[in-house]
Amino acid sequence: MAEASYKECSLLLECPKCSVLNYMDPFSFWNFKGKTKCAGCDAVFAIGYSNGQRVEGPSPAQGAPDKLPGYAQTKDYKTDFTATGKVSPPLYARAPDQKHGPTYKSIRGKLVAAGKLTATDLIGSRPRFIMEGKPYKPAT
Amino acid sequence: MATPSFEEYCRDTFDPKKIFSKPEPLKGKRFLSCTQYILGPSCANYLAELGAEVIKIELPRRGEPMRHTTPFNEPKLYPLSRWLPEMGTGLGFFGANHNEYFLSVDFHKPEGQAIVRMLANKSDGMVENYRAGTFDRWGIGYRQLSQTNPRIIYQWLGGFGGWGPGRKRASYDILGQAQGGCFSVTGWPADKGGLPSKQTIWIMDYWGGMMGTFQMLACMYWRDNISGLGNFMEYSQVQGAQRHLSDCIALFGRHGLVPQRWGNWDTLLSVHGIVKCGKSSYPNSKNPQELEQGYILVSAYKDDDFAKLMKFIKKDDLAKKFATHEERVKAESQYEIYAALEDWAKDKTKEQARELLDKQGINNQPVWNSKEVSNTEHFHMRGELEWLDDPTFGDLQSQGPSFHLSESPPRHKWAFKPVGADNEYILGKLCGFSKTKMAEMEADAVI
Repeated sequence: MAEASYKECSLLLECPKCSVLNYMDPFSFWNFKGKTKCAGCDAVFAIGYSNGQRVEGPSPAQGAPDKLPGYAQTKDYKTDFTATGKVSPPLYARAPDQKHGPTYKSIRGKLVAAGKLTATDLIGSRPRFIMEGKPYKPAT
Repeated sequence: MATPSFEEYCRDTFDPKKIFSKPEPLKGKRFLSCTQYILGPSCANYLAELGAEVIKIELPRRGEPMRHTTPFNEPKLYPLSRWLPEMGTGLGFFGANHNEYFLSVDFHKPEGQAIVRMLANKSDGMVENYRAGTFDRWGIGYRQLSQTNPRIIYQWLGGFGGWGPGRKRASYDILGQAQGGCFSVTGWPADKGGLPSKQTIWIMDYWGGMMGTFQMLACMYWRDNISGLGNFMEYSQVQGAQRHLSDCIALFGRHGLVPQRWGNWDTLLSVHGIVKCGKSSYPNSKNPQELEQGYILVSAYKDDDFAKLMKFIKKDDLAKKFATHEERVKAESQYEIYAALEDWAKDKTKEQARELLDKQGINNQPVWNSKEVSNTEHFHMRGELEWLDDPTFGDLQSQGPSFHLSESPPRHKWAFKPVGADNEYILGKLCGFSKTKMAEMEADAVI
């Protein structure tokens, strides 16, 4: 039996309209039949998954989506369009205002990279401030 | 010069400060780790702790799922990769990927599969824990890789094995514990609610990983000293879980009895269980768990220890009533004995209970949380907890390797790295790719 290409059956949905990569997180979509929305162009699709395999769609649909993708990015790794309403918020065990914030110091006061960074904060894959041993200062 | 005591000898021999001046037992061995979550990664992690060059291969962009499975979606280490600095890796990933090199390859694509074949030809072994048969379907399983590298040791770990009725199901640690029978004997008896209880730590994943490492070392011995050939190993997580059931399986097989849950007490020994203390050790804490009463393990199951304990808590009548093991271990006896112990402890913190029991020579241990474990001098002194000066993420508290070797100790060099951090190093060194070639593969999302 010929097997389908991963592009036709995986949890990764490449939007046929705008090419944004939508990640259908397995917690929500492992067994799912309904509508979802591309985080890039808001196009609504009917789609079906069974045991993590796409078995239906994506076919154009109308109306509100049942679930949003867990995450999305462009092919050149841009994610800044995924504001509220574009992707599902993460599942939180406690409310976001009770969560730990980012930190750049460990509990004993030394440098640790436990907060968001930007491309200019990096040298290769390593945080610049860790390499240089200097306190973190966000790029202006 | 006087011969040092055994304690002095051990302190000097296993001194954590001397680890990096000693050789690594698996230096020169190379393994690929195409793994996700904990079961497979921990297997490769143990090999890397022993000095093997372990190359972790993840899917490009987001890496493996465990990077995004963090407790409460909270603390993370940044960056996820050089391409996604605003994202991080969750701490669920921490602890199962030490010392490894991180390569990103899309296994779905023919070009990615070709990279795996090239690397496998230059490796001693490979660990993977995708669903059974997935890598075989992609043409990079043992059957294919052993055609060009007959010495390869291929460790597959998964839920149910590559054959048998359950083989198509997916497994996790918790499912392994459920099917393996562990939950059925962990939790509360019927008159205390009857709930089975899971082990919060991923004990079946880490146990399975360790078993995988053990098997790989045996296979290396067989290959290098006897046969010259590799091996294909299959480890089923549910089988690993039921391997723990010890007397439960024998009891059913011999007598048809199904063991019941018995909470925090013990069906084989009494006293040998957890006792509630009435007072919190942290009455001003904001942490709700620390505001709760404390708990302490008490073990006094031998006749003389039990008599001493009962006399100390002023229950000489119980010492006489339950003077023998046969009397003490009965279910109804334990209800009476533990009630007396909790009555004694109701006005004490776990530390106060410990101090008093220590003076009597009764074996005990307060139930500690991760803060208390982290502050334990014994663990830090022996290198079993360490502050790791990680080259990527900085100052991290980490578990040390779980055992000590006098001549060739395991060690931690770094906790882990971002997705694809070593693409250039590995693909340049082992595949001979140019920067131009790598840039093309990156643009095509092969790496």
